[in-house]
Amino acid sequence: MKTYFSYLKINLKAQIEHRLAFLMMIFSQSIGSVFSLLGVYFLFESFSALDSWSFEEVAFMFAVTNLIYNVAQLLFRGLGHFKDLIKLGEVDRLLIRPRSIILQALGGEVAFNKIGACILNLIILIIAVNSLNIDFSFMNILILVLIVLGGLVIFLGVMLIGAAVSIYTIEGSEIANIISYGGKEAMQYPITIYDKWFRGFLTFIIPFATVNYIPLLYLLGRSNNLLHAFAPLIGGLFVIPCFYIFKRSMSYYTSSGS
Amino acid sequence: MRKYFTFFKMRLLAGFQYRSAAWAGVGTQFFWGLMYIMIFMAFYRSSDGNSPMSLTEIVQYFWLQQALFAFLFAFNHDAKIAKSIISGDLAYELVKPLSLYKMWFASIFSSKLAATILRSWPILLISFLMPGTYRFVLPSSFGVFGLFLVTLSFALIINVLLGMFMYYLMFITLEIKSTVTIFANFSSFLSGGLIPLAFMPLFITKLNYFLPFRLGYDVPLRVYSGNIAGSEVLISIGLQVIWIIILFSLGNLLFSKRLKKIVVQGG
Repeated sequence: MKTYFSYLKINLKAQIEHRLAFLMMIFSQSIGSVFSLLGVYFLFESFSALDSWSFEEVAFMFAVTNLIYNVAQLLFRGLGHFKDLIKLGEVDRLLIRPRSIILQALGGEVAFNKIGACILNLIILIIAVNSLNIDFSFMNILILVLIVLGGLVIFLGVMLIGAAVSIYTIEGSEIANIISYGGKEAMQYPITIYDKWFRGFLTFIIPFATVNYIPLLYLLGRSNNLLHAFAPLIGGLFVIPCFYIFKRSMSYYTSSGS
Repeated sequence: MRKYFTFFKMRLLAGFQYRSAAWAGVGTQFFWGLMYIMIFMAFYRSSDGNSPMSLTEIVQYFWLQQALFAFLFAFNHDAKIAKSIISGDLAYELVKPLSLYKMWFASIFSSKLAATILRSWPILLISFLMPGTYRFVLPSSFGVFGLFLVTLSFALIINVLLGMFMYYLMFITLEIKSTVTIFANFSSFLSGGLIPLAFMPLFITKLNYFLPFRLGYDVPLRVYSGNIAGSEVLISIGLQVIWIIILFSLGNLLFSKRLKKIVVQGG
């Protein structure tokens, strides 16, 4: 853990060195979220409703999924670029060090320029919670924290699978990007609007719904089932098989040479 | 002219080499199309039937959008060209007795075209075979199809001409990623890439009449789906021609002015 924090510090120092470029990145990463939310708002203006869901409720889901996605991008970018490490032969260098390969890959690149988008989505989340009259009670905050942590763990799992695939086909980790981005986009709306096969995919295959729709049902007062509230704990288990897939794949790793 | 056409042909053939990347793209785009259609179907279910586009029109819009994704997606940029601006490698291009602006236009246009040709037909083919509401259908008449092809061709030209301003901005900012992100966010918001422009509030629609973005994206898709027809299409074609002339002259002028000031360091 101490090693990881020193990685974080070095990354932050390196990135704020170019101050103007860093600020420009923060700005550019944030407007994407603003425009997407505006898009959702305009759709609600054009149509009277989305099944039984209000704009505030959808904005809540939007903020939760975008917050998790952006924090995951900030922390796990290094794993997302695992294929580049393989191509450059960097992995060989990491393997000879007495530290975990995952830790080193994560520490190699931390995208602090995502911080603007993270804060922005946190603000949207707080506004949404306020306008929905959800109490900031201990229980509710605990569930929100579990949602974010569970979500991060699921994204970590997706990234690990992407990194594992890129061991076999050096051009492979696009899959992780597509699943992360697609999952994020899909979770901006309540999953009840999707067809059954897609709902099943988002709940049981890659359990994005357990860190968004299902626990939010409880927070929105649409369900009293505590099992819904603590679904992130179950969804988070997704990372375990991903971790083993990565471990197994690493044992097949052959250097790309040079 | 012939020189630039050679560039066009060269990059087109090179673009056709990336076939496995194209198949991955087909899968992703197909999935996006499905997801957008599902979201809009839910909105239509709960609407009072008073919407600016019908559900069938929206379905046509999204399948075409996904089929033409490689061309229309504003975030797609030519990494090699962008890098040559930052690294100074464009000095090699400047040695050639050609206009950099026209050369880049030709090569960006052709590489986008190659990527689109590879991806579009499988997406359209599968979407033709989709069941029920999801199905992509032929336009209502040959006339509509003809007008679609005309507006689409002009739209693609406008699309690349607008993108040229993004590379121009890179000369000033010397930053690839944030320049692309800022430019592409505004461009996709105003062109119909984020949500179809028919669903935008009135003030943005009014603003858009004075801007070229919709002419490079929204117009052909709505012509195909039958959402706009008759004189409105003819007016759009006229506007497209006028904007092509304006954007080309402006871009050419800005590039030649900027290139006089350019400093390439080292060697």
